[in-house]
Amino acid sequence: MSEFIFCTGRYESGDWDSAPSVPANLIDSVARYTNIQVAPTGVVVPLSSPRLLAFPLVYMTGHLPFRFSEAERANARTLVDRGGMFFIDDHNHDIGGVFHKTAIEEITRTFGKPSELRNDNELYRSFFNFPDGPPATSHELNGWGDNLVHKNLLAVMRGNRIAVLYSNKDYSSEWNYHPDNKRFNTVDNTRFGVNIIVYALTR
Amino acid sequence: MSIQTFVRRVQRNLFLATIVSGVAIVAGIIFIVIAVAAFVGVASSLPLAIAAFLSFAFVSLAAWRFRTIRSPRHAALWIEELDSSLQYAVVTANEPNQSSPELEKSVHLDALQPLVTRRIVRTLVRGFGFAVIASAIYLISPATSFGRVRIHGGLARAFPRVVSPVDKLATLRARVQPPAYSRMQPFERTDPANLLTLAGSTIYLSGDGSAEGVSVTLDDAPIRVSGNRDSWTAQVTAGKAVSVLRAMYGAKSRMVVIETFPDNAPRVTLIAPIRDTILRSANYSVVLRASASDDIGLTTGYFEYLIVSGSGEAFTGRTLASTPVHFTSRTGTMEARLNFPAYKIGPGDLISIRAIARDNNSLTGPSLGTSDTRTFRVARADEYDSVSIEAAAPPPVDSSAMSQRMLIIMTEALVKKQKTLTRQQLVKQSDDIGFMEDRIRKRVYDILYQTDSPEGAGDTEEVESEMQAINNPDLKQAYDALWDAVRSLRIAEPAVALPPMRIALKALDRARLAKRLYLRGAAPRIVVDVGHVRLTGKEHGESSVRTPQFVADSSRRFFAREFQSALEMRATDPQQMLEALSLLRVRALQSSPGFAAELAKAIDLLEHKRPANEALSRARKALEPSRLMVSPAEWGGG
Repeated sequence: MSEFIFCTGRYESGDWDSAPSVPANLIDSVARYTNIQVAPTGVVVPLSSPRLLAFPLVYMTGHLPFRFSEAERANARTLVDRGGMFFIDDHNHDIGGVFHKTAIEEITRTFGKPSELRNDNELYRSFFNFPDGPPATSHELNGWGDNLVHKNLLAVMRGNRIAVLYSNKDYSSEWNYHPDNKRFNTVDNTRFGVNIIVYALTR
Repeated sequence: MSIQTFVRRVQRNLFLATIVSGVAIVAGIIFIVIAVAAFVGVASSLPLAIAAFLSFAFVSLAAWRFRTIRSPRHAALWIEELDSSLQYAVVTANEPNQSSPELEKSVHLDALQPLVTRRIVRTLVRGFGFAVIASAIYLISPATSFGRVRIHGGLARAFPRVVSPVDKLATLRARVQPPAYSRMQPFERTDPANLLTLAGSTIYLSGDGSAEGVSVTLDDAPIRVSGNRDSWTAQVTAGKAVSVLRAMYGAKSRMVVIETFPDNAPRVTLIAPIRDTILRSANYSVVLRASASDDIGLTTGYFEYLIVSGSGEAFTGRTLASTPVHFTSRTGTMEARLNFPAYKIGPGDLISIRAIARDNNSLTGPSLGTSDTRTFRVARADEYDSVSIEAAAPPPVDSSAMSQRMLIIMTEALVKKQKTLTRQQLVKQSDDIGFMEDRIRKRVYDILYQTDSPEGAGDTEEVESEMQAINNPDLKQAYDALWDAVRSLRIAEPAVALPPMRIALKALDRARLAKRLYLRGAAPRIVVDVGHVRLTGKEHGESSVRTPQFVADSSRRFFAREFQSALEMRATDPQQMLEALSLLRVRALQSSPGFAAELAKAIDLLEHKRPANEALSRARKALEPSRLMVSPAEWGGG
């Protein structure tokens, strides 16, 4: 079995690389908590590249307008059709922000309209148990962005499988630190990231 | 009237009567054959082939039989046959040079005319009589709605033990009415197995007999059936990509597969600007140009500007639109000018531009088509050193390089004629070139140090940090060489100025041709020591049971299994086999279009009771793994 490689999707519009430490942090968490064979570094793959189809999970984030080119859109659809999964996080944590508006528009156009993901979905117990749904981020609790604590994530489903997971909880800010600094946290806030990866690898 | 004239007129009338009567008899033959075929229950094109053969045979026979009336002599003989008392007077009078006044007087044409007319009318009546009788037989035959419903229905009601009831599904008619906005023509199909139409079309399915006992479903959802004594009708709207319309009457059932093609969203291409650009100044105006096309028709198009201001994590966005352009056809172009000051665009703002077009879909739309996005970014003054990587087109260095080349040529010419000039002339001309060289130096300074001053640097040395220049060593080298050249030119030493001038030109050329990259910034490379941190987490999760996945090619196997099951019904129940194949085709349309296409050909042949083994074989081959285009969605990611 080949090792899991964390893939960050590079899209033409916007700032795809606004959370550069998230991949390493999640790779560290996967190694820290699971037996999953994981590559020590992630990769950045253009969304329009056929190489994208080799990855079961693609992470994307940003603050700026989120729009796909035709090639990116076609490739992204193919990935989802082949059983892959996207995790898209609004780095703004703002439902009135440009990323959220344009991302929802693009997700709807490319994959279909996202709907609220029930908080008892398998995602919340695929490894760690999150009985109340998605964990809140410090950015939400401190009133950044839209000053809302979002109760649900959004998702586009394929059958009973999550194909596109969308969050405007700003996990990209929450997890964007060097993994060595994890030792300063009482509770590791990247555990939900492990759930996303385990879910993508097993569903 | 002379006998010869009379004979020619008779000949013409007889010819016309023969033609008309022949046409009527041919029509009668066709009616009779179709009616007989309907009574016997033979469908397909066989009756038409038989009718065509019989008609051809009849026309050949008639042409042979009546070949003689082509000559006046035979027409005269035909007249002689009508009245034996003529004693060949008409034939003789019709011969060349044989006519005489006595002969003309001996023939009473007035008495002969009614005989001829009666004979011609009899020919016509015979032909038309046959045609009328044949038409009547056709009318009461099961080939017509009247025959099926009124005659057959009446007989079935009168003699229920002898005559079976009318088959209300024997002949299905489908009238397809595409949505009005598409301006497509409605069309009709008789006994359709499948219909292909634009999504949103209305389909009227009708059959013979009253609506009593007839039920219609669309994808198993019941549809209301209405009608009168003669026919029933069900109306459905084709919405899904593929749906199955089924009509049932008693134990009988007919299936129609409805396939729809969608009204696609317009395709929009942004022609200008051709690339993303970073601008130094917000005082900018850009021409936008886009083309749009649609499969049905366009209505409007416009440019959308998304202007994002802010930095860090605090961004605000404004979405604005240009004045819409109205279209009246399937294709069109639009143009607009985006004036930055008019939209209060300032340093640090990011302007995303895209073209949008709407189609004329008034049913489920309008659908929006969008182009790719181009972005303009206005640099902030504090980031000039990092954004010069991609300058706005055309790069200002280009013109500097050209001017430098010209100045070198001028300096070389000056060196050549130096000996012929007085000292004063040499100083004047060298100083002039030095002045122009200094202007280039100032322009390079502006580019190198990203200054806003239109005058560039003064005569003083740079006060900015030299670190800024490290970003572009070619321009820095050019700038230094230009300084050397200016100094030499200003003191009337053109020969000494030439080497640094050439160095400056080469450096400017290198800077001009340098690959411009837009670097979004490289992520810091963190390599996780996976072995070191492995399972050192204080908290423990628990992996839930993995969802079982389907076998990768389960779709192919499913189709192959269903295909085989359908074929096994071929000997026992051909109709059910056809239905099973049609349903299989519906399932395969999305995920395996190649198999579905081959299956459609086989179904068509089977419906027309023609040999279909080859087509079925091709369909089976289309299921082989190398040819299969099954969507991976079918196998659920396994």
